[in-house]
Amino acid sequence: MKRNLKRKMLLNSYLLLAIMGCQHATEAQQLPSLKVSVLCQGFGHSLSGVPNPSLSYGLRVGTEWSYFTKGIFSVGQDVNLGWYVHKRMQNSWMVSTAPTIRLATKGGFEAYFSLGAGKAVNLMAQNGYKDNGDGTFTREHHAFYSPWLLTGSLGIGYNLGKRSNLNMTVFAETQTIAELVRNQYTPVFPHHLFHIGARIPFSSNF
Amino acid sequence: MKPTNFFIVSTCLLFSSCAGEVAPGPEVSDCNTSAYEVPNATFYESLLKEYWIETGSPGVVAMISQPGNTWAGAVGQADLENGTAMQTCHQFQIGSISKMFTAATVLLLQEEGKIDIDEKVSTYLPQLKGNIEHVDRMTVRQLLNHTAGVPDYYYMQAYTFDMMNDPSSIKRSANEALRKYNYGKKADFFPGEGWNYSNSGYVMLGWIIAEVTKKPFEAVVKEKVIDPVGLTDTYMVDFRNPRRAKNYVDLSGKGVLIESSKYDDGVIGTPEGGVVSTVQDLTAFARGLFAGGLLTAESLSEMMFVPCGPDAIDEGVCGYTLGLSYWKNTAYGDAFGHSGGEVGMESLLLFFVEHDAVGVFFRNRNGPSRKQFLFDMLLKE
Repeated sequence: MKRNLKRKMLLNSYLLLAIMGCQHATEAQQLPSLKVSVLCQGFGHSLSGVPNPSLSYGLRVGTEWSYFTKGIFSVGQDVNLGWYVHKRMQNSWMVSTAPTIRLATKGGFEAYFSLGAGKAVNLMAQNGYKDNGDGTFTREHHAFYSPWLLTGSLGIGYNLGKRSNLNMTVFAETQTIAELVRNQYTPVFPHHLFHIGARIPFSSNF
Repeated sequence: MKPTNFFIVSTCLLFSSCAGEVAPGPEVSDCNTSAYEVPNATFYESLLKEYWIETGSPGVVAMISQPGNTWAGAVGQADLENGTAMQTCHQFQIGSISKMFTAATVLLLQEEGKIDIDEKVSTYLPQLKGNIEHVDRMTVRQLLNHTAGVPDYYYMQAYTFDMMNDPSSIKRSANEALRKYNYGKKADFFPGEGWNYSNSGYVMLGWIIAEVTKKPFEAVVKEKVIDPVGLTDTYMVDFRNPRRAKNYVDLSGKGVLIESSKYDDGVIGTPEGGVVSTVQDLTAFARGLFAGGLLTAESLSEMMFVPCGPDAIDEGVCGYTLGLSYWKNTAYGDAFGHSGGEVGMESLLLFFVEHDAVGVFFRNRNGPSRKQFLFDMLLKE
């Protein structure tokens, strides 16, 4: 009887520790966070499986907050401002927001998925010429266009706070952006980006 | 734990726009115009200007050549940045009109006994077995007339993405291009059982030409076609020529053009769209080809053979022979030739059989347009 009680207590304490562990991980996800990532054009972006030797690059800064957390599962939302240099052709500023579904383990690992929308401003690395309709053209420095975007991301992360005092989550993310410009060449203009970054909760005493 | 409230401060990016009017330059060029002072010149010029305004093109060049009546004209600009007036001697990427050069080269090599166009493609390119579906079932002829079923790389998302993001990543040698875009792709149809315009098929033809001659494709075209016809303003490799007109495209669809010459630079020198030329040279090429000086009568007859009855519509296999498009019953009669297009340019070459007339035009913007103006020019007595 005593032995069974001891075993039961031990089991309960393990369970409690496990729950606390989960709560600890998800609590961090509940906090609004600053997100920073560097990004590059993803390998195999062209769906051909051939790595592109001349990668494009960029930077994304954003924030993320949580709406709902239960156990290891949470639903949040992010807002990002990104800058992306297309090789030779254009630079893009992108603002996007996306609901994010996240699974975080007590060990500090997490996986997430997001699907959202945004707006890009693509600055062409060259002049534009506005057609005046009479055979003349007006020069505009830095031609740009601003299509709507659909974005989708898959990512994995690890909370360093589990092993050190450094309370941040590092993550790797693959993101697909479909640029909703409709013309002969870019009916849907996909970008496959690979991000490496960190997410730091806004908290003074966590 | 007290979550810190966090607000994102939106950053407004101010784009300084320094707008300036681009001077249109002389409306009609002074390049070689003295050679084209014909009675209908004013009429031709007015049609050309009408087409130029209608299409919103930076510039247009056209040439018509009829017995006793040859005229060329240019309007607008070849280079918007520098305000360079378009001239009749400006060079353009001619796009798919290049397929006529490739097809003629194949037929010339057949005359020399180096290629049999009814032979299987795998005879010449055994390395494609296992990489291109049905390569051991399709013939060279089927590549020439687009009935081989090879999927066209030009409309694959992977190619568009490479071209629009980083043209330098496009691999232009035949084996690299095919490996990147065509290897392992399912055929559009079994050879001979359909018709689908395929640039990839012409990439394979260029590779065959290089294999059987043991020379680079572009060198063979120069040796067999460009030099014998005497085309002095036509080239396939040295594309940094200052007389090349720049291409312009409206990517945003809002009437703002950007220079797009770089997008398709990788195409120059290729069998499917690699020739850069002038309206004069293309007219000379058409004359050399259709007058029978370049090919034997038998080869020319094979090249122009339409395998359809008189009631057939000129589409698919009834509208494309060996490297030639076929237009039936136009306002000026039956015509052979080719259209072409790259990112930011459009071209057309027509040879009207009954009238022994040639019409050629280029414009440095692409998109739908009314090409009928060429017929209107030719119809003017």
